[in-house]
Amino acid sequence: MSAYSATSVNDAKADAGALRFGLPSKGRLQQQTADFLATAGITFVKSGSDREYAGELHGIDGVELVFLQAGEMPEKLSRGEIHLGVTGEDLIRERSPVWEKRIALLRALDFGHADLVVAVPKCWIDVATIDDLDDVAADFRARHGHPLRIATKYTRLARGFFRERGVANYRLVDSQGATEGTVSAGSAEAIVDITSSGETLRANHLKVLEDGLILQSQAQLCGSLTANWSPKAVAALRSLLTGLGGQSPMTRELPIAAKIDSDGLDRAEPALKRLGALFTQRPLKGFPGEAKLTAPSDKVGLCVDVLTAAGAETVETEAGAQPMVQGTSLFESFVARLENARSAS
Amino acid sequence: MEPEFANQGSAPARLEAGAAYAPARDYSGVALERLNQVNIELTNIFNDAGFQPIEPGMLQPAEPLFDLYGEEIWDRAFVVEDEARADGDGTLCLRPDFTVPVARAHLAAGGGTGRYGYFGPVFRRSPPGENQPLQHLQAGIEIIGSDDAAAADAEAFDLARKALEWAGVQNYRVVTGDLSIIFSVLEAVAMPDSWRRRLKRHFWRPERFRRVLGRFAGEEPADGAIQAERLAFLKAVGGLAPGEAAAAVAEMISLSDTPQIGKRSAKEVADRFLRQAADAREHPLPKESVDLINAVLDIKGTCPQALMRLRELRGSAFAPNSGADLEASVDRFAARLDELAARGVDVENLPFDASFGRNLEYYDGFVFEMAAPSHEPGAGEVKLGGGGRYDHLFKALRASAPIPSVGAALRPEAMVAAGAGGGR
Repeated sequence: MSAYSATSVNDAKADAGALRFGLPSKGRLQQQTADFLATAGITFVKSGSDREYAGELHGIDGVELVFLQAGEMPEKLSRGEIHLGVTGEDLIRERSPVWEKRIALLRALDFGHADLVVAVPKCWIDVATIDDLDDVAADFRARHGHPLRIATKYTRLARGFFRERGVANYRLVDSQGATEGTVSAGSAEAIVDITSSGETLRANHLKVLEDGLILQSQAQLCGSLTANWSPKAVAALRSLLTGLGGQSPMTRELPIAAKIDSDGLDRAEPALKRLGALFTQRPLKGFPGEAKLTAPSDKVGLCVDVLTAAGAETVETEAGAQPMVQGTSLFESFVARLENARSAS
Repeated sequence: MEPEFANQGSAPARLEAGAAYAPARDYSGVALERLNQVNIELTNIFNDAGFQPIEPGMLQPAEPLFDLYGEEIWDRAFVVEDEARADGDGTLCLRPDFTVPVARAHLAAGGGTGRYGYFGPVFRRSPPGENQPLQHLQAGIEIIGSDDAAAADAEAFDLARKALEWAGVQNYRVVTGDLSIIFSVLEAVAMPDSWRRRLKRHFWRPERFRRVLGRFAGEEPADGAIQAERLAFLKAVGGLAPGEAAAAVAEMISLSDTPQIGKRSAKEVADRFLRQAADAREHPLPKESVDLINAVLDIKGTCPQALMRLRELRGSAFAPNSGADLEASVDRFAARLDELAARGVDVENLPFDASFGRNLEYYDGFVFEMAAPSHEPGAGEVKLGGGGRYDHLFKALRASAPIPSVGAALRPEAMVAAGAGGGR
């Protein structure tokens, strides 16, 4: 796959070889991105009214700002039209096919949290899990003359999730508007949508399936593996990442997997959170299952102790898995991936 | 013994994964000559065997494929919208194979019996992240409405075999199977109908099938995720008459201060509770039944060995009056081997694998595939052709009853890659 060179959005300012950095063009996401960059002593301003999609970055040289809507970011990164961007992981996974080969998730930013979930009417008191949904879907067509309809704007992620879980007798209904209203409006039986507090779902008389979590998304600092990375862009990336990493100790996030029931996990959770662990998978309520989490490398041992004390049958730390890394090691691992991507294309 | 459609969610990526040549190939010169030669030979072979040429449209209505594959269609076919169409159904797709379009054309022409031969391109999406061909040629036949299944199966297989040999492809590998056998075993094993339906539904996904089977055998908690309070409610509702159960569910829903939204009624919820309660009262599937199902799926060897093993299992495992379907399947297997032998096929050495076809489209009986090493460097093995029986496909096409049908398809480009048309 050949790298597109950065085509110019604001060519008047086009700075040869500069790192093109895509930032959210407005709203809360932009503010949170600004706050995050400020931790590394980096600030930006949008430039004058005639150039409302351009701006200036202070604190690092060789960076050209491009303001984009969060939804535009995945394609620009995937095509290599920007080098870096801040956007939701949900959008990257939904909108950029085969994204792993084109985009690196450099750093989870701990804002813009949202869960992509499967939700069904609360009045389906017999349905709590994906298996239940599958069972209902199998009979639905015979009773109603059409397949069970699931409304979503995340068609790729929904399809992939249901395929993996072996659910097949359903039809996705593309919904670009208020997805959570489609069930009471009678145009769908269930939905796949983003929720942060669950409030909107409850207001629409929907409930999330116990094992219906498709993705825990948050804003990510993303790097394009297909962009044309000039020495100048690479240098800018190094100072940016070093600046960002400098605020926290040089730790690495390592994955932990534990066989534990949900009660035990509830007991362990406050302590785990204090140690800085983040959950990526939880067992079903009331059943033994596997919990997955990540924890800072220097806290992994303590997390294992906490899990064991809470009744975990087994606790595994995956030293071999690709850890999330910060600071200069983050830079090095990205450059290594960049080189892999180049030699593979 | 019929399979359930729209459930065949087993990785469609693997269907065409055998092909390893370029994604979009332009033919010219010697390569085109070879391809033309293969095409002419195949067409002559089909004509001589009394198959009527048919050319269904490249653009087909997507609806029948949605019925067959569900959302998986997006992984298999190129779907195109023509929303402005007057008849309102503007969802079309480029044909991903010939069988469904030929079956549709056959029904549209009035049904009955038909023998068709076709040749032309089909279009498939490449699995994500791979560069499979998006378009390839298919040449094949369909035998529709023939009552002598064993003879028709043998004819389809033999024609594919002869076509490969006449086209000069040598040293190819063959595998055969028969999906009706496992379906009829599921029919013969004593279990609640709802369990049987679930097993059939998940048959196409071996891992899920194994899990569901384990659950019915009592290895996992009945119905995985039923919580304690639901289980209690289930017990209470389970003893009620259907009408009372629906009322109890409606009351339960209203108690939880939740309006009834969507199309699924309180009665449907109650019906499902009643069914689950009935299931929960069932004894788990005995170990012998689970072992039998697994033993049948594990059958692998030459056709005569497989037939012998099946007869052993049939004799030892079933009561005399159960398993009429299985009886018929095994007899048909034996009759097919006789027909194949009569056509000169070396059945003594013909491989059989009872699990083969578990990820194959809409087949429900005899299945077969031929593959060979490619002559092109680094291209690995190419799938040359295959086929099978698809009696129940017609149900998905809204025919009133299954129509006994079997087909075979060859891939001319793969045949050239494997040396057909004067290869190396």
